[in-house]
Amino acid sequence: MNKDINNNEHKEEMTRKEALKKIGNYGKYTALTALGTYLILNPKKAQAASPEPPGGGF
Amino acid sequence: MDNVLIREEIDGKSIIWFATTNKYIVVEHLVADILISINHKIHFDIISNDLSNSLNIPLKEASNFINDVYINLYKKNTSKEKSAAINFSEKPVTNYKALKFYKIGNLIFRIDYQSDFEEYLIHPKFSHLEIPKTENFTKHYQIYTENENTILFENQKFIGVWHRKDIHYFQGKFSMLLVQMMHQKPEDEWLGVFHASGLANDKKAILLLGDSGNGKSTSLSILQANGLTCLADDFVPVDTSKQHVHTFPSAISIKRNSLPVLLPLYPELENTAEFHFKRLQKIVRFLPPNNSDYNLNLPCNDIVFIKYIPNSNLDFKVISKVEAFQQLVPDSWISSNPENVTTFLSWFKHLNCYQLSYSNNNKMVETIKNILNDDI
Repeated sequence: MNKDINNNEHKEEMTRKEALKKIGNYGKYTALTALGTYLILNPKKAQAASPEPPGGGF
Repeated sequence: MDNVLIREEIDGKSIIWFATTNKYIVVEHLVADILISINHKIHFDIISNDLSNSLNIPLKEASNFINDVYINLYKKNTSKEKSAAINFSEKPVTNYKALKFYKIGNLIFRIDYQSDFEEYLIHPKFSHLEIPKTENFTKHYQIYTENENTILFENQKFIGVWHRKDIHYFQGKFSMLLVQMMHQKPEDEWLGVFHASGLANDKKAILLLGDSGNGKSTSLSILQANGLTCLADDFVPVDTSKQHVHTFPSAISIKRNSLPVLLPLYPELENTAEFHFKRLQKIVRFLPPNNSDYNLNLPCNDIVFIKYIPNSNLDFKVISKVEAFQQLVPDSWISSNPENVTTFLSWFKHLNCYQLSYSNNNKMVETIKNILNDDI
């Protein structure tokens, strides 16, 4: 993750894009390439309030 | 023994939940079939053969694919990483700057804050529930910080410790304790807590979702000024038994850039809703929710990803459930109890998912009311 990005919204968008993954490389077997696309999602590890807005650190 | 996997099919995709890692994976149905077969210990040769036949591809390619699914998806999500547990058995400290008392319905609780910092974390959201000092409280919370770690005790029992970078989890835990106390349901009777704004008419609830800064709380404030009930903001609990949105009476956080829109509706935001924490150099504004029926809970069939875009025309459309799912899950706490996961997936499958962007408040209010009145 790029540490220079401070904007939460950008971070979240990036996380979602990064969540889209592909299994392996199957060259001409496009059926397998299409089949191998997946999305991985992590719910929050515990109940959470909204994080501090950017620049709002203590 | 098989690992615990739960499968649900939504909008042409399969969702597989892995108990070991508490992750949700969205895959094609065939891949879900493969994962279930691997979990049932069916021999790879048999699974590969089936895939080779159904896709009409060479056995070797099918076999490689099965192996990749095993390595990338199955194995990674069925082996547990060890996490370091923090044990803390000390008694709470005894010096507190502020003792405050709060009342939610018949429940009275006391919170001892060590300094402005702990007070800033909790009090503004609950100040509208503050009452004068009393001896008749049922819960006593003590909050203090040592070396950037904030520690929470409930009735002299250690609840947890959170580093400053995880402080939103401390606030979440405290809110969850209140939810459990208010509605008399332990944590495993909750399906999840959603980062949303929960609103209702007299029959049902709707959730407004969206990234921070998209205007959820502002939209909620406008809607509650237009006759809808605020059930919860930012922290929306849904129970397991009825899958109802429950009320949580923390105040609505108001950002500075929302003031021009909200001041005509809520003149009190100018002064009374403002909290100054001078030592922390912070000013925060909170608006109390308009609901005082703290037992209120209602079914929810609709979720709306909402966004305020200046000078835009209203754009309202149905979005795919898979798209909604991928936005909802990373922002939510979802119970990791397998029975609750099954209920969550089934509940989610039956939700209507919409996206709404707007700049005209009246049109936004009309659209949300139409959804709640089943006029869409």
